[in-house]
Amino acid sequence: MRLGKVQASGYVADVADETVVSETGASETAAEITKTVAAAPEAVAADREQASVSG
Amino acid sequence: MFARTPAGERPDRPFTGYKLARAVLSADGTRAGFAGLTLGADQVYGAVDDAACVWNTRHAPPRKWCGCGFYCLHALADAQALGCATEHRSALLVEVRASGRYIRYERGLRYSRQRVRAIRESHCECGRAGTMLADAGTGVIGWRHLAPVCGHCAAGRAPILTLAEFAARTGGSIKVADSADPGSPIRSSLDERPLPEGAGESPIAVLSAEIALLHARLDDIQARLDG
Repeated sequence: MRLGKVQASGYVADVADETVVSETGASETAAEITKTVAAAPEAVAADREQASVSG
Repeated sequence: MFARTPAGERPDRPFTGYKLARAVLSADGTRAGFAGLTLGADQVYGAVDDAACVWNTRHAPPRKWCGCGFYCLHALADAQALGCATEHRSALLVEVRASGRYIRYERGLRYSRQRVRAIRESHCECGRAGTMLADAGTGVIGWRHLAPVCGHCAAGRAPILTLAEFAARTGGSIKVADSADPGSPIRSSLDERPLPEGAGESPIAVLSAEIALLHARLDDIQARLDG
């Protein structure tokens, strides 16, 4: 199974969020930000990178 | 010439994703975790964990030209479809929060940090919903693979943990979703259906019986030809 083509890359901080996610998949609240490791978003140079589901 | 994709996204909250994972239990039975299905099959991760590259520890996952990092799918339906594959039938379908560095694909993400938030589905090999976890008979050093079992198939198998007991041993705040609860309407209707004859038998045992029958027929044909 493939994830398809690369759309973008970036960085998002981890959030300790105790909210149960609704059936739509949307989280309701964002609580304490626990991890703010600065990491530059990885540039995406190609459009056709594929990835398979593994880990 | 290809158009360049946008890069450098900075979302304000982690992504929600869905994935399959093997449940594992430590050798002493005190800790629980998850293992990947293919590339990450030997790597055990906790409820909250950072990805590590199994090939090259000098780069941080997810590296563009490497397959490393955690994976998840955007859509629950895609994860459910993946779970239909024979080799994935004993995996848990879990809901995760994906964060850290990430690469976003059409159908999912590859990313560096993960929180497992809920166990959404599990299936016993007989087809019923899995309500407990039993020793699958396989594992990696220090960890036993667990397989979901229903109440009917759990008898005589050990160690047995409920999904809630498993979740508690991960040390995280993993919820067992209603859809994984045998009391849910969908699960109940599935469980009430009578099982077909032979369901629940090991597929290897069934195949062995078929092969034995085939050999017997071949022997019979050979005997006739010789006669």
